[in-house]
This record gives sequence, C-alpha cells and structure tokens, in this order.
Amino acid sequence: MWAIAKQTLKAAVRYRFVVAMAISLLIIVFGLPLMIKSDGTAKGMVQIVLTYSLGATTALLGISSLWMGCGTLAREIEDNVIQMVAVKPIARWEIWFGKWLGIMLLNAALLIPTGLAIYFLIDNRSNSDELNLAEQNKLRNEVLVSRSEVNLPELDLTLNRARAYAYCKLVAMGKSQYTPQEESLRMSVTNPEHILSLRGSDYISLVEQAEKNPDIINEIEELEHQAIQTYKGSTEVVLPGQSMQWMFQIDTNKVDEINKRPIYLRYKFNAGDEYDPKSHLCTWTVGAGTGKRWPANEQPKQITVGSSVFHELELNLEGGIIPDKAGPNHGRVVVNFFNLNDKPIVFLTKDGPSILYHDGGFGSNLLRGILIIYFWLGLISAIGLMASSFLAFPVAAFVSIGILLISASTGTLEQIIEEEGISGVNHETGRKDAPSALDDIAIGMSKGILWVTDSIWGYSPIDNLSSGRTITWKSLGSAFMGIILLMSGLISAFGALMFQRKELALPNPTASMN
Amino acid sequence: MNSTETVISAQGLTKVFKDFWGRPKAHAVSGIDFEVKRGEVFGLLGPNGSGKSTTVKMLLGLLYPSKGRISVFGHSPRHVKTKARLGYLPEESYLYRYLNSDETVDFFGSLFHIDSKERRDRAEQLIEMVGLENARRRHVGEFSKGMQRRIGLAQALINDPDLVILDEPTSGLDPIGCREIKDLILTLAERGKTVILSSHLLSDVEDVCDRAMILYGGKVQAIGTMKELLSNRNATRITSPALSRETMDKVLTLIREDTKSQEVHVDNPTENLESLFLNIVEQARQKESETSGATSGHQVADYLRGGDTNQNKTDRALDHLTRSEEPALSPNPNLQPKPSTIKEDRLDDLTKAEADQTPTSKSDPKKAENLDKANDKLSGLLGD
Repeated sequence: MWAIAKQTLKAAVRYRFVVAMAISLLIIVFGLPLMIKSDGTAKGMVQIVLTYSLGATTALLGISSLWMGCGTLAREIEDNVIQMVAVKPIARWEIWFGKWLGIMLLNAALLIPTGLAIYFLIDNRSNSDELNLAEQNKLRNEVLVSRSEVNLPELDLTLNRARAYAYCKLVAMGKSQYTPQEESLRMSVTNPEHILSLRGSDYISLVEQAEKNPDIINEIEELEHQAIQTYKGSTEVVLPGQSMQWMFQIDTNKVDEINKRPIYLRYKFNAGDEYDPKSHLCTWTVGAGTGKRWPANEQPKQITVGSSVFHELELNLEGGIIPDKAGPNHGRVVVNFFNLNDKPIVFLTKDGPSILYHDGGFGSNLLRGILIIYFWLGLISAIGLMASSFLAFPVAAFVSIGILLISASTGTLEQIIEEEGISGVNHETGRKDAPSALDDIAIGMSKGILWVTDSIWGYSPIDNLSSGRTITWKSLGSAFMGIILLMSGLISAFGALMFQRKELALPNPTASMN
Repeated sequence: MNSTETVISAQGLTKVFKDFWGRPKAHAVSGIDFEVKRGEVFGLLGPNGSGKSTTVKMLLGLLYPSKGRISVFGHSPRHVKTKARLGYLPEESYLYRYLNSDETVDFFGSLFHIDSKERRDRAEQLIEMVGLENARRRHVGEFSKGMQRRIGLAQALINDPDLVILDEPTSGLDPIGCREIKDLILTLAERGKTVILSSHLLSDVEDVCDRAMILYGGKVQAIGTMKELLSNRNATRITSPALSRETMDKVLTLIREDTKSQEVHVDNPTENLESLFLNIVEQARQKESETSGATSGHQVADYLRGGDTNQNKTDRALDHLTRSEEPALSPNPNLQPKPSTIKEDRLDDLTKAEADQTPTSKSDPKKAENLDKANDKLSGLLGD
C-alpha cells in the first residue's frame, strides 16, 4: 500500500502538479493579504487575512484533491497502466487505499507549510512596530488566541399533552393549596406547557372533545404549536424599552484561572432590518445580583452597534468578573440587555449570546483547525476515488462535484423539516393541515441527510479561528469520527468494492491509442 | 512441485463482452479447454481478434470469465498470493511514463515485498540483461517501443516468477532482442518455469514452444506439441557433411530404389537471416561501439538462470528433437509442405560447395549480393 502511495505522490511531483499547487498557495498566503481591504483596524485585517487565506487554501486543495482523486485512478484505468499493478500480489483494496494515502500525503505536504506560513505571517504582523500596544493586545486577546465559549442552556421546548392537560385542569381549579402530587406536577411542567395553561379552558375542552372526535386533533396541535412559538419568542424578542436577562454558568473549577484575564460577551441581534442593517442603541450590564458588576463604578454605557453581525464586549474587571467560591453565585455570570430603540430587538437562539474566555494559544487552535480542513480533504479525495473506481475521468469529476454541491446545499432540506413536509403549508396558520405519508418520508430523509451533512460540514474551523474561538479536542475527535472514520470510511468501502469488481482490461473506447 | 503439476487449467472458458445494457456485444472466447503443465512453454497462436489476449487477461484476473472455470496454480486468477508467482509482459507498454528504468523495476519489485537490497540487485541484473544499462536514468516515456518492451520484460521477471505470461514479447524488438527473448524463454523453461507465449508470429512460437494452441474466432482450432502440429511423417530429411558427386549419386540411387519415387530433394543447409544478422552484430559489439539506446548480448540475470548450464540447454534441445508423440489433432494436411522434386542441374552446384566454408555465397551470386547489401546496411546502422 505504501508503494502505491509513494507512487501516487511521485506522479504528482513528476507531472509538476506539486509545483503548480505550491505557487498557487504562495500567492494565496503572501499575495492575497496585499490585495484585500479591511475595516482599517489590525484586528479586522488579521481576521480577514485568516478567513481569506484559509478559505482560499481549503478551496484550492479541495479542488486539487477532487482532481487527484478522480484522475489518479481513472486515468490509470483508461491508460491500462493499472493492469500492471493489478497483476502483482496486491489486493485491489490496497491499491485503492494506497492511492488515497498518496493524495493525503500530498495534501499534508501542501497544507502543513501553508499553515506554518500563515501562522508566522500573522504572528509577525501582530508584533509589528506599526501597531500600538493597545492594538497588539486586542489582537492577542481577541483573535490570536484560543477562547472557550460558554453558551446558554438549550431551550426545553417539550410539550407533553397529558401533563399539559392535567396542569391546565389544576390551574382551572384556582387552588391555593396543593397536594404533594399536584405540587410535583406544578414543578415538572415545561414553559410551553405553562404558557398553554393561559388558554387552559380551550385546551381542556378540545382534548376532551378529541376523545369522541379525532378530527379535532389538528386544533389541539395548533394550540400546542402556538404555545411553543410564544415561549420561543419570549426568549428571543426584546420589545422597545424592555430588558432581557441571560444567565451563564462557568465551570467553577476554572473560575480562578479565567478571572486572571478579561472575558468577552459575544452577541448578535436582528432588528427587522436584515437587508439594510443599521446601528442601534443598546445598554449592557453584567453581574447583577452576583456582587460583581460591570461596568464598575459607573452608569451603564449606551453603545451604538449594527445589527446582523457578531460583536464582542470586553468584560474587564479588576480581580475578574466571575464570582468566585467565596460568594453564593460561584461561576455565575448574569447578563442584562436594555432595548433603548423604538423597534423590537431579536436575539436568535442559534446566535447566542455567549461568554468567551481565554483557554490557550493560537498555534494549537490553528493546528486543530487545519486538521479539520485536512479531514475534509480526505473526504473529498475519497469521493473522487470512489467515483473514478467505476466511471471514466470526466464523468467521475462531474459526479464528485455534484455530490459535494448537494451535500453543501442543505437549505431545501431544512425548509422541508421546518414546514413539516413537502406538500406546502396553510398560510393562515403557518402550519400543514394534514401531513401525508409522503411528508413523513420526506422529513425522515431530510433529517437523515442533514445529520450526515452536519457530521461533515457542521464544523467551522475558519470562522472559529478568525474569531479566536477554541476548536476543542473533543470537536476535533468528533470531526475525525464523523468525516474520516464514518463518511470517508463508507465511501472508501463502496469505492474499493466497485474497484474490486471492475474488469480492468475491458475494451475501452476512450483509452488513448498510443 | 513435480513436472506433471497442472499450472493452468481452463474448462469451458467463455468470455462475452456486453454493452452498457448488458446485451452481448462480442463473443471473444467460446468454451475453450486447455491445460498447461509445469515447465512447459505453451504457445497461444491466432490471428488478430482470435481471443488470445482475452484468454491471457482472464488468466491474469484482469477479465472475468462469462462462463467456465479457470485456475492458476489451483487458485482463482484473482487470488492475491498466487499473483506472487506470476510475471506478465503485456502486448503494449503499460508503464508509468514518468519513471526511469531503475524506478520502474524497483516499483514493481516493491509490490512483491522483496526487500530493498535484493530488489536493487535484481533490478541491476535485469536492466543489464535487457540491455538498458545505458538508459537507467531515462524516463520510460522517452523510450522507443523496443526499449519499452525491454523494461516491460525486466519488470515481469523481478519476482523470479514460476509462470511467465508473455503477450507478443517480440513485438517492436530488433532481431537481437527477439533472439534474446527466445533464449530467455528457453532458460526459464530449463529452470522449470512455465511460460505462456501469446503471439501471431509463427516463428516465435515454433522456435521455443513445447506445445501450442491455435485459436480462431475464440475457439480452439488445434492444440498439441510442436512436433505433433508440424512434423510431416511422409518425408525424411538427412543432413551430413558435404558429399562428393559420386557419393551423392550413390545415395540418391539407393533412396530412389528404396522409395520407388522420383520426389527426392537435395539441398545445402543454409544459414537463416537471423543467424547471419546476429553474427554481424556480435562482431560489432566486440568492437565495443557506444550506444545510447538498448544494447545486446547480455547474459540472463543470475537469479533467473539458477543452476543453468550449457549442458542443460543441449539436453533440452535433444529432448525437443527426439520427441515422437502422436499428434492429438492433426494439422490441416493441405498446409503441409510438399517435398519438391530433385533438380539435377542443382546437384552440380551443390557438390562444388564441398570445400567452401560459406556455401550461401557460392550457391546464388544474386542472393549473396543481396546479403552483402544487408550486411553493409546493418553495419551502417550499428555505426561500424
């Protein structure tokens, strides 16, 4: 297998493919920063350089992996050279994996120097005399760093019909004293179930009627759906003049270490101006009720920031902002937001806010990010090789590109799940009237494909690196399992099987005649 | 392993090529049966499109039979370990164009898990054997067809195979190369190796094969030993030192009396063009002329020769000549050469050659002139 891998690598060198790629990567790493414009700040410049350099490197190596994957096997089959290898005592699957290994060696040979060049280039820039100390510190604390992210706990949107019905009945009784069982019920209801109790009489009536008239189930589901959406909205929307509070629990074992450096509040909001983002007046305070307060000894600052983009707020307090073990709120960070605008402000659940704290250097984070990119290249190579195991080169390239494009275009699938099927929604209720079996199949398939694509593309190494957020080892391990072991493994097994079954000496009308 | 071991066995072997929709497109091989024993040099003969290459590729596991069974050393041709005992020279040069001679032999050697030192030694000997020592560092893509055949042969022998499959091995080679290939085949056979020789050059097969199978239209037309296939049992040939006219007359009289026939043919044995050519080149080589291409006259690699001696070669030649099995399938009698009648006027010429060391030059002045021209041309080509 190693002999085949070395041979594949040698072919790339002898055909000057490596030279062409190296020159292209040099242009990307050293030429691209000269051509792009940033917001004028050192932080903005480094973020853009990181994003563009790593993005372009990933794209270029992705294309080259696909090309190599399709070409190295398909061309050898078309030129009959593979016959000379296949008659030697080496199993077909070993030839297949040898080719894959060769492409991965080539990718490593190109990606490692590129990663090192990017690292030293940015490091050199951050230490440049052209930057003042404040800018250098900002770079080191916000970009050239590895910061862990503490997110809000996931919303509990479950709604159990039996429990909701029992709770509605209990509320309708208007009791002031509860039995232990009733107390237990009150403590177990979720927020959507609690919201549903506000329309308890309607809900009780519908549930009781549904026993005799099953058609009424749609109306019950509609009420439940509204309760869930109302709760979700209450966690996302801040009305004008209103405030919102979030609570973050930091790992108590890390509090003392984290408090040695500033922490950051990362947030993004929308304000109904998605297509024409504007600046909005906001006020943030942190630490209410915990004995720690930011900003310290002064009134809350009114800041003007734009919608639809991520912002960071440095929470720098002498002795750290996170309550330590001396107090009752150990590790708790309470964040308050005040909407001082005349429009509602929306904080989508998927966008945070979140707390960032320093937990390592940029170098190791860059390494992990590059490894995820490397895993992607492994998958792309496997797709190319798989296609070329049974298709001619141009067809294999076309099929591979198609697979990649489809796997990256998940918008339609997400829409199918959101709209609960493919047969359209009732525009009055915003929901589907009567889901069909076809809808169930479509939802099942969409969820399956989304799970697969998410296990491949659900990582954002470049975004994480440019925003100084940690790519955890756990995330790296998960990427290895999902991208290499699972997806590349399945594709490789299929490709190797197809290659095993292929008759390599079939008359080939497209083979070269020389 | 014994000499009766069956190396290749094919029963009802059929190959039908199909189109994209699975419809039969061409019947390349139709129900052929044959066996090859250890140590045999077995020829696959047939015109283009007769199914030779398809059969060879099924033997190598590059094509799968549509029907029938085929086994190599008792296993399926796709059995990986069996392939370690095979050497294959394809009809065309299917080599990596960007590798040089050393790298080519080394790469294919590495697929046999031969350790690197042994690989280097063998590569050294093989490259010398095929006469490419002056082109070690040249890329295969730059080679002439003949040189590509030579390096193809070297890679086929890197593992000292027990079964060597040669598809048109002399195609693109000069006469020296052809002769060397034939010598090599005989050397391999002496060591108990089995050789399959697929060719449409009848002389190649005739020179080296023990048995041959003639294919046409994907079917076996004839199969048997060369003697079975070629011998004419209705005629006798006697070769002796040059005779005087009187002795010749006595012998002819005796033969005529015995056979009661006038169809007695007398001639001088002539050196064939191949032998003449080889002698000339050998002389040129002894002058150590430099060449950037393939050279000739090298010994078979040591590890391929094993315990080879000239005595073995002679014994084998004698065995070959004294075999007298009955033919399994008689060749077409129409194809058998008819003995020509004696021409009395030629007898005078023949008896004059008695004291001459080069009979061909005397027998036909025009032919001799042509050979002289050929000699000059070859000398020119060789830079003499």
